Amino acid sequence: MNIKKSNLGKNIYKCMRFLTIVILCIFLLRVTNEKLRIKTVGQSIKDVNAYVPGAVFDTKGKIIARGTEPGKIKYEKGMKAIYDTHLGLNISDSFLDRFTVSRYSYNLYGIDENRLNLKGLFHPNWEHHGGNVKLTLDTNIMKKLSEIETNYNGKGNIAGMIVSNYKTGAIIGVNGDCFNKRYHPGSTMKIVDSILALEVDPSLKKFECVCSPESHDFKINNKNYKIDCYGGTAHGEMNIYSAMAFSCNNYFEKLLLQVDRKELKEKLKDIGMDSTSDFSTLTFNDPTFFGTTPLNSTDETVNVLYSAIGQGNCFTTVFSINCYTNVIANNGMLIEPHIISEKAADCNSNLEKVELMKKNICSKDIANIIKEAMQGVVDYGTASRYLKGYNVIAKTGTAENVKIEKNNKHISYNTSWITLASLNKKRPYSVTVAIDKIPTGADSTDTQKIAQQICKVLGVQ
Amino acid sequence: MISLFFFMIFSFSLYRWASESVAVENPQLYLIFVLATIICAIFCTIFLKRKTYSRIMSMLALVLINVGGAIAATICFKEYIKDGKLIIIKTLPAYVEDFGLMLVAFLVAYYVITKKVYKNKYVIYGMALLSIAILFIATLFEETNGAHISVYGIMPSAVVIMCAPFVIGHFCSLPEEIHLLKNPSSLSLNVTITLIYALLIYVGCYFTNEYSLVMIIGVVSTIVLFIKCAKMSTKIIYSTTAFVAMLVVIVTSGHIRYRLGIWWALNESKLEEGTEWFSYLFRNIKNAAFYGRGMATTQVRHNYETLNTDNVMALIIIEFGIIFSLLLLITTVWLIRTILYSADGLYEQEKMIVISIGLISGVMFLLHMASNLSAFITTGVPYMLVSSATSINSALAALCGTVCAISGNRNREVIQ
Repeated sequence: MNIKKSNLGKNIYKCMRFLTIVILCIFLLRVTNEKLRIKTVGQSIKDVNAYVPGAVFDTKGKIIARGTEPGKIKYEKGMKAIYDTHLGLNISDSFLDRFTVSRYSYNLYGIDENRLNLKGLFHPNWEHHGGNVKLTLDTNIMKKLSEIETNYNGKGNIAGMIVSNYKTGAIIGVNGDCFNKRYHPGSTMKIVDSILALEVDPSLKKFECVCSPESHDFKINNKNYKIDCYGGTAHGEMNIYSAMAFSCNNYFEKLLLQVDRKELKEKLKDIGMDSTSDFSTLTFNDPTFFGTTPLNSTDETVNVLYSAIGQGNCFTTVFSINCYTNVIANNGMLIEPHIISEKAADCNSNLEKVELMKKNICSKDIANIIKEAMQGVVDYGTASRYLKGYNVIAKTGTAENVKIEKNNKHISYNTSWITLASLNKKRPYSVTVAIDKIPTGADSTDTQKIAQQICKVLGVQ
Repeated sequence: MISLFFFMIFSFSLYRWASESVAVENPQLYLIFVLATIICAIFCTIFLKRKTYSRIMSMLALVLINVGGAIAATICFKEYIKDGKLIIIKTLPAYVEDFGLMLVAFLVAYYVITKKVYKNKYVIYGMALLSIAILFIATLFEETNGAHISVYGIMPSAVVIMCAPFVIGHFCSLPEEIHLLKNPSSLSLNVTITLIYALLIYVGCYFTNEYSLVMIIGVVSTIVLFIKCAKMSTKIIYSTTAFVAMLVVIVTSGHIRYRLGIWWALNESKLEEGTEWFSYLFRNIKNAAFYGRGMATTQVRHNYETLNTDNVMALIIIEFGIIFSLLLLITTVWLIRTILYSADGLYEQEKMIVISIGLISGVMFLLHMASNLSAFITTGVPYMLVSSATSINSALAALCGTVCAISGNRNREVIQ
């Protein structure tokens, strides 16, 4: 009695075993490929409840908030009022707000924790804790900004205040809606105008014009446009320094009209206007110059005229204006603005510095020209009333807005701006303040007063 | 006895592990289920004492069923309204019912096969016709998730999976001397009918959109035809025809092309067609790591309805961890190995039936694993005995009963 011997089953099994190993290898390759670590906000928000969140520190190592139980984070005493809007740490409540710090701090909730290591192998009951996050925000500055906002008794509303370090890109204080809501930047846009014009054509630094009552009239496509300087002033002979100091609209309009339109558009995108810019630890609404719908569909000159003075289709956030000030103060170089300075992947990892991007927005020579022009604003220009004697460069601005109510009633109001940067090498800070909905006719007095208070806190005098 | 001892330790450990999880909907029922699997294991140890392959296979199948039970026990109780109707999901009672059906299918198949019903050619013809006809009949029934997957609650794919090994086994074991047209130079009848059967299944699958079944039958028929053809030229022609026809059916489906695109660039794909769950697996594998994130922890936070079916492998990796997943993979591979090894030394027909069963289980396992680990396109294939799939699990249990019965006969039937 012989049983027929066959290896067919064995051979098929060997083939299947080989295929299993191949599949596992492909899986391992994909796991090790970081590109496949897809992050979806919805999933992350559901996952946060699995971990006790880590702690959040301010720039000096003071605890702002810490995880108490899975999915819950508690603020230290007095911290919630000044930090909650910007941090949005209870992510299940704030996940729709893409401008909060929590959107860039998944590690805080333990979601990025790596347990694929020896400790994970030998400690099965290793508790799930999120990693820590260190911010660039300074609690003292944040408190001061909060106090300023509370004590402000002017006629408008403080739209936003932001304080940053232009050498490191760190945002050390923020108050109000600085990243989301966009406003007409008014004359602070002249900083950007100067960058645009001089970058495209450096010879324009010698550009001069006469600001006379007649020079404010522009005829475009048989249609007359009259764009006055603030208060209907005629400034006379202007160069870039005097025009910046006295905020001459006429000069900057004519300056931008000298620039080739195509090159202007390219440069606008290069500096982050009418385009999309992303930073690794914060989101903001991008500024616009031409916008999506031109004011005059047949000739873009109208757009240029209005946007040059921060009106028309020109909109920016408080944060964006602060960034352009930083560029000038830092010799043309933008260091990536950030709020999160260090992160730990999980509770057992050390804090690691966030990698920052650097971008050259304009040349050092151009930055120095604009810096000198902005120095004039403080010494004898529009900011001299409150900031004269301070070792800063600055630019003020007042934008006019018209809001149409439901009953076709037109309500006019202004948005007042100031943006400044300290020239003190030990205190390389920049401050931008915007006050919205102040009555028509008001100037930048309130913003200058606030900037003065912030400067005192920063030790910039 | 040692295997029974290990099985009991495994069952109680898994029971304890699952009981400590976030959600166990019915602990008493789960305990009864675990005890029932242990009783089954005791019966297998006693009655299949001398049938090594059958005993090992039954024990391994019970291990997989235990894992399926643990997943069912820890899936959250869900109530939701769909199309105005209140739908209540009770996974553990459903899986316990499935287990009962699996037992019945196993015992019936075991009894029927020991009576050598498969030797009757009319039974085989009936099975062949049934498996083809049910696919075409299914086209008359309502579509669910893009495919006609149910005929009065019975899945055509389960019927095909149950019948195909017998049909393929029968025709492939016919003497090779029988030719079409009674001309020795014409094609062999056995392989030709096998090929025609496979092609008809493809056509049926094309109309019902059961593309995973096309892949299973396609791969099995390709391999069987390659094995059974006598000459190298006919081996290549027949197996290539089966394989190319499978590819044609798959590629003509825009659905599969789309899924191939997802597989090729998962990181760029939109989160749909199941990719949300795969992306979730890839993103969380590092924190699930060796011991997992705990049973039910994922399900508590994600309101997915079918995680315990086609995506169960991904679920196991996240919730049970890498070590358990590897052990489960080894167990499944071992089960398939046992089935395939038990084929060697059998009569031709029995051998081809067992080989087909081994191939079907193996291809299903590979497809499930590959799609869940994103090593192949995403196809809806359940994990044998672990997924909650009543029809397929019953069919596979019946096939396990078949293997037990056939391999049990190996020492009694010999070739002179």
